[in-house]
Amino acid sequence: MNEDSKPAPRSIVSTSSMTNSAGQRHEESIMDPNATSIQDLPLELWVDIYLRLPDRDAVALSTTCKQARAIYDSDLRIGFQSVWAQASRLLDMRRPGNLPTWKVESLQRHMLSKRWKDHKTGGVRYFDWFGVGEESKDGTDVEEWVLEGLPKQSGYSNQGSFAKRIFEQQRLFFKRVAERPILDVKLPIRPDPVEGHLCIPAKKISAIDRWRLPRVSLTTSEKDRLVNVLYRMMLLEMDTSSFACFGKVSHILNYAPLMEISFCESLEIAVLLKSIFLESTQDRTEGRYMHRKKNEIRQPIFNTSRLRSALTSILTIKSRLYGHILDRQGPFTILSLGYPYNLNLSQLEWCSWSPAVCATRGMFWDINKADFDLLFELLETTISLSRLTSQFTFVKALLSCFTPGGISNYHKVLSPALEVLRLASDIKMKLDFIAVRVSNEGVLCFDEDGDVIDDDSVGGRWDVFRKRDLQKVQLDRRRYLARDEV
Amino acid sequence: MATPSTQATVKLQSNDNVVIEVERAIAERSVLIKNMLEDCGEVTDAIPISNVNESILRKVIEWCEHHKNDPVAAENENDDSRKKTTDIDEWDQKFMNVDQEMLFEIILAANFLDIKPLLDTGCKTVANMIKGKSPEEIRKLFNIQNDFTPEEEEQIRRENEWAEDR
Repeated sequence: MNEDSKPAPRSIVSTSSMTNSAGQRHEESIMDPNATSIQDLPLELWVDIYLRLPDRDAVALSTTCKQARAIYDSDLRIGFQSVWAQASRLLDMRRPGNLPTWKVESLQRHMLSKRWKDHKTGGVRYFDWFGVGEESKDGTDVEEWVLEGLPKQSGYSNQGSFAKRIFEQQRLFFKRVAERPILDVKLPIRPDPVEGHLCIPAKKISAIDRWRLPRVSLTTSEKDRLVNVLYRMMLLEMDTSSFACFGKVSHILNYAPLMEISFCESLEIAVLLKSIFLESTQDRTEGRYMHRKKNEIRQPIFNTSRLRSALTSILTIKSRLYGHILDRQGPFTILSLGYPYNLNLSQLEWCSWSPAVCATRGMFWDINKADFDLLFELLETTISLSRLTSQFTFVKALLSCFTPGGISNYHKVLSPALEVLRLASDIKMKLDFIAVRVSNEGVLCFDEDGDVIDDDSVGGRWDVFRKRDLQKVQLDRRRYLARDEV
Repeated sequence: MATPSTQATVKLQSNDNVVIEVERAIAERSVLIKNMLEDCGEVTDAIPISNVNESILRKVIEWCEHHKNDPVAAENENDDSRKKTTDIDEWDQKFMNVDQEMLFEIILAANFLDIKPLLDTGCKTVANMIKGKSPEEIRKLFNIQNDFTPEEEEQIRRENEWAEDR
């Protein structure tokens, strides 16, 4: 529009003469169908409103019309950079220390609901995302969880309800599952007609062919199995952190929780870690994946760095030990081939599409459940028998460490047993583990010289650390004390 | 680069061609206007606010006038602090006590003019209106047409089961 065609301004008014033009109360208004309404708001303002709503209200809004639902469901919600950044920060599973009250209040209602099935006990457990607290016996009050002796940590922001919603619906998680051709193609495992051991009776499938395999949607029981393992992983990521305090809070990797879980559970976690958390970092280009930078997570569901690091060590030790006992023959062949035997959860590697190698990836599917159940039952029976009858003391001791509660009884023999294992096998890794008693919240206790000592407080627990990690913490502690004295 | 100006007032022109003169400090609550003034230096012509009509522009200016002494949020301030609450101060509550059309027009104007605190207040007001209501009540409140088929509604009901009381 040029200057001449502009209509002349109607008036020039000073703001000082303005009056309040407030109209009717909005809740009582009768809407003109042509008037500006909530449906005229752009996407980012819808998202803004959604973010301010408690879950139930957000769900109610999403149920009003297709537009509202589409925005609520949209991947834009997940891909929205600022929102996603907040959600991932929240879902970093480091312990939050003393949570602010508003956060506790917003989280406790959701986070302490019944969520997942405990593999060990078979019972339903409460998933305490941020250590908000335990539900009391009457099921109402929640006691705030405070990590004694540690300062508050920043960086744990709100958006709990939003982040939780992503996980509640598991959209992102199942989207990842659906994106993984290796996971979402259900291949049956069958006993080999000649050898008798379990295998996938398929020809070797090329990298390109696997994209052409039929996709099958997940059944409810398969989803349940995946989600139970996902939640278990989140809990383990938290439990693999112990803490030391010297001015700042230092994390130290605790291996005990992973020593205590079953081999089956370790494998399930490894499969999900590998398939969902690591391989999602790959780009699909011309029918094959291309590596991104080492360990770069494009859109982390949550931080799994500690869990991956600890599980790599523990699974390798267990594989070696079990291999030593079982001789990797017969039905156990499927567990000893390539994956997970050469498991490396710290970095991405190209896993060949050999049916046998990938067999463990089929462990979540209904068609394979009976076979895997039988396999692991046989495995556990053999291991239990070996625990009683083995002539090797170190095998007995080590096997006992890998049982629930075993760490507390066998902490004194753990290190020597691992050393014997190292000498007896061709294992290359250093097995310099040491068991230390820490407070019930996982905080290390030091003496006046800065050396780590066992914590005798009530409710304490045995954690297992790498010697070198412990030495580093002790060194840092001494430096801190020396600086304090100066 | 333009030199900083000491201009005391600026003129804003609504999309229905009404020009309103306003103190520069008040107008600069809008990041859009502030950037424009910084880029252009002395501005004698009225600044066209093409997406906002007179009545809404006056409301926005009224809000800016009331909040002219509020500290300006830092550029990199964490968004979380903005979004974690739906509390609105008393004056803002009264200010937002307008008909729905005006409420949404104010929100759109705040979005266009980049006045984050006003945008927050508007979104908080809408969120507070929604809280505690059933989908049917929300539809009635905002005059939203239910365009789901019964089958779609049933599907959504199943998907939403997790949010029900357990």
